[in-house]
Amino acid sequence: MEYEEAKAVIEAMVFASPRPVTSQEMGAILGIDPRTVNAIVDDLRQEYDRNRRGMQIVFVAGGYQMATRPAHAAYIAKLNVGTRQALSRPALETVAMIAYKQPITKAELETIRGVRVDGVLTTLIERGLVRPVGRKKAPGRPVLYGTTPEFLRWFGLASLDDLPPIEGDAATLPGFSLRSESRRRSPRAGNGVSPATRGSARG
Amino acid sequence: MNMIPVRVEGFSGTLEELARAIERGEIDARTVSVHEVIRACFEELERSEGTGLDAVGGFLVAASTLVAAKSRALLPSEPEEADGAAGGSDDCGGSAEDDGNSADDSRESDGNSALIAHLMKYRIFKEAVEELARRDEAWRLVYLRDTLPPGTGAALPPEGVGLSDLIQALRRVLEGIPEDEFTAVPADDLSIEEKMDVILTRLRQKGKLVFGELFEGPTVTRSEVIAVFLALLELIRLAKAVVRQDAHFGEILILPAVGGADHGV
Repeated sequence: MEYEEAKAVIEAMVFASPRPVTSQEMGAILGIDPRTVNAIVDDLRQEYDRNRRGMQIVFVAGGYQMATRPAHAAYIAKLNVGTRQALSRPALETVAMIAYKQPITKAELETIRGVRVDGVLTTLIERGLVRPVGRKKAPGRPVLYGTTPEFLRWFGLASLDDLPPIEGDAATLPGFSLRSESRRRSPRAGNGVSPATRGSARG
Repeated sequence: MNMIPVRVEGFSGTLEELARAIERGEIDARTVSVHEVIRACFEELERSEGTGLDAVGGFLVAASTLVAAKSRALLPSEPEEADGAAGGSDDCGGSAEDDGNSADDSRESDGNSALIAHLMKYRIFKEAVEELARRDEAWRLVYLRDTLPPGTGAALPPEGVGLSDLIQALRRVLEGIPEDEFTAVPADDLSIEEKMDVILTRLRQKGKLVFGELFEGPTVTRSEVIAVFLALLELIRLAKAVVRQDAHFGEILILPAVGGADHGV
């Protein structure tokens, strides 16, 4: 397939997909190496930046997705497409603990936070950031909670490995195990805290 | 939560930051008046009424950590090696409370380290939480394209309707119908087969039925509602009808099963 054509198809697929689409998926469809897909997406991104396009391609939850640029948020908000509310402090703390310690039970969360988490947990589940992932093999078989792909999208994270690293001594604390000590950032991540501001900077 | 501002000599920040600074040894616990800090916090809590349980809970955790740190600072040096050598710790004053000193000490320092380990766990998250909060803010400004292709609906509607949904819907129907009167025992004029026939006929005529429509009629009794409901369940069991819901909390629709009942359109 001709390069420009492949680029157009990839652009179309990322546009049409309602969820993050992976380079593997696209590579399989096009019959090309996923790494080539990555390169083409990078090419597209640069093109968008260069031409100061209103959209960007972000890498969240393991795949590519079309998104607007933060600079235009105020205009889009007036479109009445619904603006999401910032999470409350307790919700942020709880979702962070779930993210780092998943799967985790409600009781364990409450032990760490020192307060009840029922309400917060309900909110997080309603927003689709957290979901029950199973039951612990312990008395009462309590429900275990984990984060969803929507959690990654919400915070613009490429994967759980993309979570902000937490202090190393955490791993040595009793009853506290980190999922992975070696937190290498996903090579495709490239999403800083602030999503792609370079577009406006380049123009 | 935990946003209670605290001002003491040489420190200004939240209560938790204070507890943390003391843990790190940046501030000597002995110079901090726990009494004053806690009184200030109480005032703050009273002033900002409605801070809720979380704030109070956070306050209690931070305050108890502070108290623990302070009491540890005030105690003589940890008699870790003096396990057997009881009474060696030269407490000045308060000799009345000295009995069983060494046992108490080890238990207490256990309690302390548990508390501190707990606070550390909590604190480790704090920085991650800060970053997540920044990300929450930043990504709030980015609209991800996540609409589904046209025709598939804005959100995924529930595909099948569970038995509990049906029973809930039934309960709503029953609520609108007076209790049956037991003055006379009605003859057995209720046949589930008959009701099944009625439902199927109506389905053929209309293509689909709203759950509530099943139970419409001038003289619907509770027993009749139950009979119709059982007939519906039977039709579902026999795969002659399916129930669907177009939206969450939407009307439950009854449709002829594909291949089951003939559509007759």
